[in-house]
Amino acid sequence: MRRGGWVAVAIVLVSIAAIVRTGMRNQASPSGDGFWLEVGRELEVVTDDEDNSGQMLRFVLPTDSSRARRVVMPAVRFEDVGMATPAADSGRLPLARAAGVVLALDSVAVSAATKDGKPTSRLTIVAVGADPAALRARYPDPGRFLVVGAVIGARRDSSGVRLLLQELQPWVLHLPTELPLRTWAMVRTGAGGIPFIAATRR
Amino acid sequence: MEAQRRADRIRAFREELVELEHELGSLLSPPDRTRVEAYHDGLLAELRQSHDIATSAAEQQLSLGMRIASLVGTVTLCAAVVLFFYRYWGRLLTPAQIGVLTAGPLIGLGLTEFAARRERTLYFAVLAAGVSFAAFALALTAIGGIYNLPSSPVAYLALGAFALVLAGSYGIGLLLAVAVVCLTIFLVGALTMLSGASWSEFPSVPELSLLAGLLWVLGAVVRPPARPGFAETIAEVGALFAALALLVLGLERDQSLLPLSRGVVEGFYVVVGIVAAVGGIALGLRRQWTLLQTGSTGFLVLLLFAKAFDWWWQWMPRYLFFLVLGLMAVVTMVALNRFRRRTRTAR
Repeated sequence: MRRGGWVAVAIVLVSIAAIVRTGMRNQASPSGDGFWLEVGRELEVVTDDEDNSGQMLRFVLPTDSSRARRVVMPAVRFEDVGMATPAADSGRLPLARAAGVVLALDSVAVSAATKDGKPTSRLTIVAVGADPAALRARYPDPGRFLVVGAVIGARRDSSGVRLLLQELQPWVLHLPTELPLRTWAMVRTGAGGIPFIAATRR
Repeated sequence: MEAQRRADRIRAFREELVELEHELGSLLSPPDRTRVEAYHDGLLAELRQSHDIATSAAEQQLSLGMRIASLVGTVTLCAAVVLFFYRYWGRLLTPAQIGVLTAGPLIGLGLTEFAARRERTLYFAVLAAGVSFAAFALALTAIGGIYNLPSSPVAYLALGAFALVLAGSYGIGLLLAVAVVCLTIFLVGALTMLSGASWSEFPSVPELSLLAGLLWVLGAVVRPPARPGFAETIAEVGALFAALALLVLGLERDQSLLPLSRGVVEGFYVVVGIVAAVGGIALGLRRQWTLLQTGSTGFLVLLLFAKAFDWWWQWMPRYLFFLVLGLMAVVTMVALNRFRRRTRTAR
């Protein structure tokens, strides 16, 4: 093989090794409490014709639109996520930025009615901040709160400029093949601040 | 590429000589004719041997067909590899998933080397290299997904470096274009992230794409790569980034980072767009980079028409609007024609 081919081999191996190392270091945290979520309610199985593995579980949050998974957050202030407050009527909106959100199960909605025959998600956003590590310090109980990375953007509508959750990072959690798909999945935040599914139970 | 051009020139010379002799009578003495023909035949045989070039019009048409088939084959095989993996990965344990994903690009690299040794035209090598690239992109995405890692511009750095190395080693222009796209996304995404925003917001900062695109064009002109055709590819992809950014900046007034009023920003970027388009046309003509020249002309027309729609569609009667557009097209044609005449005089 010519020299460039060997360099390409090295790029592949180094890149994949870096990703695997980051992932494994994140998940090499001590066992303990995790955040139990109900599959089919707070987590939905992502399936399509091409990926029928049942290994992808997506967070389900109450949204203001059935088309997009964007969540408007009227109670959050721009300075909470390190953004300058833009003019309400015109001008450039601030760019979306990486932040963190704290998720919890809404105790009021535990017995919430079903929607279209399906149980509604009880996940709710209890806090948003620019620094996920600071959020983890403020909400230390991993059994009650889950801190997840997020992308927070701004949207202008008739009522002014509002913040919205554009994306959870990750929106979709990978269920390792080693774990069977059951009714409950325990999500734990790893040493690198990245959530992962650590266990499942009936 | 250079070998094919030489062969084309020989074929054109022979055809023109036949025409000339038909009109003016015999021009070469029999010994001279024999020498020229023998020299050209030997040269063509040598080029065919070393570069597998097309030496007739029919062969050239077949070569074009092979190139198109190679491109279509690359795209469809890439899709097949990605979809096949997602179809069956649920049956593998995590270590096996990672093993399969790692093996994919490596097998692709082996096939690329094998194909490059077997055929000089590189049609199959392009296909194998494309599949290898797709397998590498799949590996980065899927392994990142296995560990729930957030997306990062660094993945584009790895992909860009991989494509660049393959393009340079095997002389594959398509992968060079892919490398320029990936490295631009990395650069612009990383700069966006440094500004505090999410890196995926980079399309909302078109000035960065404009800057990156112009830098690629400048690099291709000032320090062109030694391999024939590579400078042209780099300049064309860079110009595409710059053109898209200028279109957004010229039409979407709120997209600029410049601390100026909306009207000033709009006018500024329309002028920059026109100047850049004229520069692209001139550069394309000077270097004989046909796609750059054609693309710049298309961009100029598109920009002018889009601005005309933006400015006048609402208040002008429709007949007048289309009349103005028609006149603009005529003015563009006249300007290009003058430019062409001046170029011819300069030669």
